[in-house]
Parts: sequence; C-alpha cells; structure tokens
Amino acid sequence: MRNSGDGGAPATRAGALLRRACEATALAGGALLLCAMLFVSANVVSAAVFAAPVLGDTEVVELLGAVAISAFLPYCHFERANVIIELIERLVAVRTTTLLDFAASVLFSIVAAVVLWRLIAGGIDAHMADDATMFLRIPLVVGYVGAILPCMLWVVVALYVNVVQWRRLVGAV
Amino acid sequence: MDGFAVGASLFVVTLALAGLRVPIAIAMLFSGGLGYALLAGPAAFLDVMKSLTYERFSSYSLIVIPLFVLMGQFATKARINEALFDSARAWIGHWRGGLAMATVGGCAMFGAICGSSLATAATMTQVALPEMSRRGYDPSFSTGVLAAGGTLGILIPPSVILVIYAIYTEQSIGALFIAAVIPGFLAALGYMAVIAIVVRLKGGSAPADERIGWVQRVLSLRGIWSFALIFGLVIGGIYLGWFSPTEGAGVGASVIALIGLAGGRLGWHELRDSLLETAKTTAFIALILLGATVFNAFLALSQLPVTLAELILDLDVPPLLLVAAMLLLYVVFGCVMESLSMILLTIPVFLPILLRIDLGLSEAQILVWFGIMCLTAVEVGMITPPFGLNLFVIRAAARDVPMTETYRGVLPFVASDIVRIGILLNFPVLSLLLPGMW
Repeated sequence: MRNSGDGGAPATRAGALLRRACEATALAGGALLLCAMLFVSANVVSAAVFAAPVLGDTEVVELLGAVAISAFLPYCHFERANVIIELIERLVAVRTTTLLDFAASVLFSIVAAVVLWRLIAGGIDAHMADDATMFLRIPLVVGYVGAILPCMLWVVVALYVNVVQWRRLVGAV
Repeated sequence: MDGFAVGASLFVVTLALAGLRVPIAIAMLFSGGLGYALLAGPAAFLDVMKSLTYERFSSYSLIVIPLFVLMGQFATKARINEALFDSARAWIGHWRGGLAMATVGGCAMFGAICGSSLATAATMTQVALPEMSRRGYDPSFSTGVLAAGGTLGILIPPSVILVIYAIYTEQSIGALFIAAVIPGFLAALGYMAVIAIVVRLKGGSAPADERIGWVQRVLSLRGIWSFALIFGLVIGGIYLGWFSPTEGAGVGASVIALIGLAGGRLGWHELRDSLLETAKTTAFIALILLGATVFNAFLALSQLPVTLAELILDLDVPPLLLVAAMLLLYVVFGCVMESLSMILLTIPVFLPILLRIDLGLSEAQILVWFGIMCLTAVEVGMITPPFGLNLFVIRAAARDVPMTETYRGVLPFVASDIVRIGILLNFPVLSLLLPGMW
C-alpha cells in the first residue's frame, strides 16, 4: 500500500500549467493554515495574558480550515498522493494495472464532480437562507465560495488525470 | 434486498474497489453514497451531500490535523532530529548497541513533536542510518531498528491517528493523548530491550561508541531544549487544560516555526516544502474522513453493525478473545491497508460489539482503551513484512540494503510489539491510569 502514484513531471504544456495552478492553490491554502496557526496562538496568548480571548475565534479557524483543506485537494490529486492499496499489481500484468488505474481515475472524477455539484448546491442554499456564523455573523456562503473554487480545480485535475491515464493505457496496450 | 444485505454487499464492494487500485477515500465515498441512495432514496443522499463536505472540512477539531502535520514538517526542516539523536548518543552511545538505542530514543523524542510514523522513520533515517553504517552496524539490524523506531511517531502523542479516532468516537483528544503516554514509553523500552538482546546474541552486529565525559553529556542537552519546550507546552498544556488540542497544535507549530526561523533553518524554500507536504497529507486524510463519514452514515442506515454485533454476541465467545481477534485483524490487514482508513472502516462495526460485551469497563474507558489498542495493532502492521509501509520508507532511504535484509532485521521488533499488545490487552490500567479513568 502506498500513496496513489507517481505525480510525475507533466509532459504537456497543459499539465505544466495545471501543476503550477495546483501548487499556487495549495500554497494559498497553506497561507490560510499559517493564518489559522497564528490566530490560534495569538488567541491563547491573549486569553492567558490579558484574560481576553477573541469572541468567535473558533468560527474564524473553522472558516480558514475549510478553505485551506479544500485548497489542498487539487495538489494532492495532481501528485497522486491519495492512498491506494498496491497489492494487485504484484499479481497481474502491467497492462491490467494501467487499465485499473484508468477506471479508478474515471470513478474519482465522477465522485469529485458529485461532491462539487452538491457543494455548489449547499452554497446556494446557504446564500438564499442568509446563513451566518453565530458570533461574528460571517456569511457561510463566504466559506462555501472559498471551498468551491479550489474544488472546481480539483475536478479539472481529475479530468486531466483521466486523459493522462488514457494515454498510458493506449500506449501500453 | 434488506438493509443488512445491502450493507454487507457494499462493504465487500468497498474492499474490492480498494483492492483494485481505487483510492480508499473514493471507494468509501462511492459505496457509501450508493448505499445511502439505495436505502434512503437518491434525493435524501443528494440533500445530505449539500452540507456534509463543508461541515466535515470546517470542523474545528479537524484543523488540529494539518496543524500537527505542519508542526512535524517544521520540526524536520528545523533539523531538531539531529540534536535529539546527538543527545541520546552522548548518553547511551557507549553501550553495546548504543547507537541503535540512541536511534530509538531519538525516534521517541521526535515522535513526541511529530504525529506521523512515516515522517519519524524518514527523518530519523537521514541522521541515524549513515552513523550506524559508519560504525559498522549490520544493515539488516539498523534498518530494522529504524523501521520499528519510526512507529513511535504515532505511538507517542501527538498522534494523527488518535486525533481522528477521537473525532470519530467523540472522545477527548487530550484524554487519548495522555492515555498513549505509558504504552508509547513501553514501546520504546521494549525496542531497547530487543536491541540489548540482539546485540548480545550477535556480538559483532552493533559495536559500542567511545564513552564521553559527563560534562559533554550534560552539554548535549542544550540541543534538546526545543524538544522539551514543545512537548511540555503542547502535551503538558493539553493535559493541564491550558488549551484545547487545536490550540496546542497551533502553539506548537508556531513555536517550532520561531525556532526554525531564529536558527536560520526555515527559509522560503523550507516553508514552501513544508506547506506542500502538509497539503498532500492533509488532503488525503480529509478525503478519507469525508469518505468514512458517508460510508458510516450508510452503514448505520443498513443496520449492518448492530445485526453483526448480535450475531457475534450469540456465539458466546469470551470477551478478551473477541478483542484479541479484532486486534489480530488490524495486524493482518495493517500489512496491506492504510491504517487510518482501516480504523475508520472497522470502528463502526466493532464498536457496537465492544460496547455490549462485558469487559468490566465503562463505555468511556472502553473507547479510550480500544483507541490505544487499535493504534498499537495498526503500528505492528506498519512494520510487518512484506508490505508494512515503514519498511518501504526505510527502503527509499537505504537503497543498498535488500528488502529481505530489512524484513529479517525488523522481526524481533514485531515480536516485541506482540508481547506489548498482550500486556496492554490484559492490563487496561496502563492506558487508563494517566487520563484519570482508572
């Protein structure tokens, strides 16, 4: 068992462009994570020294966390870092493994597209209902939009991986 | 088809998909979604999915994971591992097998500031393997030590797997961290005992370092102040209730970042690498959690766990034997399956059984104790040949050592793990004493 793949250097210009987009998105998510880290630490110090914790601190951290985690998804998939069990490749021919990888990438795309579709529907619902956090009244739609945009890139990456796997399959057969 | 049949069929489908190279998270999302739609209707599933992803990703307790991962990355980049190894070496390097014991000590200390077994194995290998090779250690033995020592990364808190187990079973992350301290300490002690026995049986495999003076030994402690500070602050702070695990992780990551910046070891490139590595690890964990959430909602609808529990309870098997069978399953499947997804897949099936058998423990005690037992068992899977994941991490760093040699070297440590599982199984007090649950 290991993470699902080689990531590898993209052979095409589209692949190189997509890699840069994924890295930039992941780094933006990383920047949000650093903000969450500093915010949490500052809040601990503020509570300890001034006995004045920030009201609604968890709401800010939750928002930053949701957007950061979503922003990590495209890079993870581009690098094929999702965990797969590598057992069958020891038992079957390379051609069969390539075929399985193509089928798995198609299934991944379908699932990712459904997740994105429902996330968008949830964002629309949150917007229509004017949902907001309890203390700071941050509209939930802000978090949804922050999560939806990287998830769109995630689905694009999933489609790109399909193409890459298809080419491998055609080349291998 | 009734709920039980749908549940059982899709459970098998999930395992089959995972075996056919579908990412485990996607296998769980697909089967869970399909099952939910079959049992509650497609409209109900689509409705649930509107908010589920965002709710899962925005959970306050979930952000503790990327923060602990980031903390481990910063600790690696700040090269805290080198100071830990050097200090342990100064104190015990002159013993027979001392370098190997120092490696275990370094792994234990690094594990106390890093929640990942793989990161601990990879990081300590960079420092300890060249030193052991230089001193003429048997490569089979030294790679075995590193593979086993790496598991201390998840055994000793903070541990990413424990965080997820705690979120999932709605237990206190702090209580689980504290509960893991004695078992983690026992693991390190067990590995050191194995080293002592092996070097006595195979005299030439692990020569001793030269003894160094007490002044130098005390001076070596200067290098580990950062470890003491971070461990004391994070685990001590959580234990004493100064802050929540998320706050502890945030403070710990901030302090290591400051140490790295002050030491000039955390520049832009290191920061970038740390963030990208954190992104990869966090995303695959978050996706597995999302998949497990959907899958377990479906399992609950199917009534599979409850029905299965009744069937098993009817067999009238002694309770401890039942728990031992579950742990054996973790060890066996741990050799081929990723530990986190394995725990998330099995917990909903195992918990209804555990909570109904008479173990002489309260519900909270069972949940904490079993969390530690799970952790210990999956960690054995990580070093069990031929597929234990830590073995591959060591292989990547020690390409000139044949895998079969590493397999041979790690076996005594697997034996030590099995003995420890037996002890923890029979004496729950070892896990429950520190969190004040005994």
